[in-house]
Amino acid sequence: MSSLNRREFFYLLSILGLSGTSVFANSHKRLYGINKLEDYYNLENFGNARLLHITDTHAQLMPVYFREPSVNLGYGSNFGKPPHIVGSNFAKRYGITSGSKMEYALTCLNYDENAKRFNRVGGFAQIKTLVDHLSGNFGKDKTLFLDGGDTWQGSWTSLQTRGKDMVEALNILGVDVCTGHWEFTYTQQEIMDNIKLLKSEFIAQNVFVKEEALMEGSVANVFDEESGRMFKPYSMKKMGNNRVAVIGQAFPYTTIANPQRFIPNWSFGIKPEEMQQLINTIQEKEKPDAIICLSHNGYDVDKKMAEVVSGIDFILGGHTHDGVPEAYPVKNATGTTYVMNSGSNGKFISVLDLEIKNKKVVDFRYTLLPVFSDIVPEDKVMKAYIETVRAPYKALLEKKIATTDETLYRRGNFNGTFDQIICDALREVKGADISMSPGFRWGTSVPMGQAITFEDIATQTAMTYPETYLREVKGSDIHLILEDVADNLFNEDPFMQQGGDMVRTGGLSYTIDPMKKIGQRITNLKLSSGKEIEATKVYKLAGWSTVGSQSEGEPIWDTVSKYLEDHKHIKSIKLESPDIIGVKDNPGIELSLYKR
Amino acid sequence: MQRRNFIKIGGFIALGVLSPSLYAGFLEDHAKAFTFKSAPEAMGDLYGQAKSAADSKVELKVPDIAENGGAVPVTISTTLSDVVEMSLFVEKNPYPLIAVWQINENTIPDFSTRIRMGETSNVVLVVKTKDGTLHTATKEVKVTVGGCGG
Repeated sequence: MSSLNRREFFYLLSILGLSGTSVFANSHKRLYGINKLEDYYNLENFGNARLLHITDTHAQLMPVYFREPSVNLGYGSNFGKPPHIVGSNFAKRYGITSGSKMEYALTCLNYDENAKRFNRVGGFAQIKTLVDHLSGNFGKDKTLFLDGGDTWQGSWTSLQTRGKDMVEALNILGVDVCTGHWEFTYTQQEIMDNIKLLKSEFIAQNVFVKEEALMEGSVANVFDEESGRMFKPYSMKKMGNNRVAVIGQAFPYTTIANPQRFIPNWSFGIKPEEMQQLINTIQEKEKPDAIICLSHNGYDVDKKMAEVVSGIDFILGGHTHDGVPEAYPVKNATGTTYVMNSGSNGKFISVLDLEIKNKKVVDFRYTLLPVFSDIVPEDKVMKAYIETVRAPYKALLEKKIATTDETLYRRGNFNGTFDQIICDALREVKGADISMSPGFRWGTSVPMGQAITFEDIATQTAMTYPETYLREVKGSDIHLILEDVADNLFNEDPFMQQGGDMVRTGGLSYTIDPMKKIGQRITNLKLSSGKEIEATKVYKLAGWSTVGSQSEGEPIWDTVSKYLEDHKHIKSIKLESPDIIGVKDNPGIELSLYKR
Repeated sequence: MQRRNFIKIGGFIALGVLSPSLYAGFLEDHAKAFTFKSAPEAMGDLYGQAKSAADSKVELKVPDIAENGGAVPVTISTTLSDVVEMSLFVEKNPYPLIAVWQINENTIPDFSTRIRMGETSNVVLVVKTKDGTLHTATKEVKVTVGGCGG
């Protein structure tokens, strides 16, 4: 596939703020000069098969605000490589000019001003319009629409309907193939019921039924008892005259990062050997024209998998929520695999056009299209459906809880401003010395000056294990937790990273050296009073989202609502992010925005 | 044949292999090895000064990160011939020697089991062949408190 390495100059898009650098390898040309912004969505048709990809929409049916991270550090072989490039370094790499629409969509720069000018992004009614436009232009019979998972969770309505509102939304969208991660935070029975309602196929090569459960015969609807695979591992799809194999890769660390108690009979993992065997079988048996992996591994794990497994042409990835506007080439034993990631929260649609000749992909075009909600008209059917879904909860969703002078966001390696509110709420409401909140990547943004609604709180908290706790822990245990989570983020081997950003903390300051090994990264642990944390002393710790067993406290949205109702207005937020050692030259941090 | 039926039959056969006399003999020879608190000591007790080297023909299959430290699935196998014994160690467990398999001539050296791990550690598989040499495979398994993925 050497011809795929060709770097093509990006079409000049001055109105969007792209100065046309060469890193937009293999990006689409636009049909017209961009005189109107709508023309941005008129891509020149290329090749004979089109893949559309969305991922990690986190049930955001409505348009949202979403600030991209200002900290996304990469180390070892990932230092300074996508997606570990943020802010001004990102703008430089991709030729993005200041104050432009692309700066707003892809970076954290000038976020407050840009949000005011450019408004919301995403929305399923907008996505529906765009997808119909993109597949209609190209030819429906040659287009395949993939969803990478984290679709059934992240909103109040998805939680109340146990993911069913999103299943129907996917049906209306016309998605062909899905895989999952937060889908698995409902119960086994609920998941299988939802899949029955889903018109799309649900595939995963790396979800197995535990041997004990197989022997007992206690799991219904097992796809293949021989291999133990719970779901169909791949699907053959006809795209025009070509046959394309799509392999599903669910989030490999679901049973570690999320509770096992909801899915006691299932076992996950990256399973690279099984993946290679599957590819070999597909090549032999199906003789496909291309092999695509629909992955929820996360960007770094996808890159390593692309290295150790060969035969995949493209990995359309998710999980890490990275909006990376290029196809990243990874060399392996038999050729090159390209890795992509299509961002989150409905903000982007990936368009991947393939030129397939003689049973081989000979060239391609890839474009990550931001969904600007103001420009794309809403699809009437989807809009009406969303209104129906929201109707029973409308009053609660739109309830204004407080106002804010600060822009609230979560995404980034360390505390975001919305996390800080959650941590402050946990400490104040529950009377704790220290608080912790998980480093989820989902959770949308609230621009400064706007009201914080219950719906905004729900986008940060709506999930199936929201219970809070207050417990006494030793200083040494606090250190242990921080070290453990830091290793899950900064371990130099991507296969040893279980996903998620660093745990958010309140009432605590510390220093972190990400380059060190586990047990040595975290130093200088202090309470917010400045007093050192002592290993043997006992502290009151509040938190939520316990994976091992259900906690006893109220759900976190009650804690946060109470705090915000008490305070009514957020004037300023003191971010308790750690001091980071050795990041001066790391392109994965926008230092001008760190701790401001 | 369905997988679960196969496993049932497989389990039945495995029970038959280990005769009471063999079991008693093994314990007399090796009981002490299970009491050592470091892997080198336990290995020394089992194999003395025998030569040992990593061998790609020895396959140790473990997860990169354990889903449950209390029951980590392990599959051990080898394509080497003349295998007489296989043993499994978890370096950081309080008692690193986990199990020893004595292999008869007609036994296929391919086993699965579950082991308990308290913390992140190397897992070491040692295969002893008839000539007395030791062939090893080592892999790290991470045991995490987990719970912050998203």
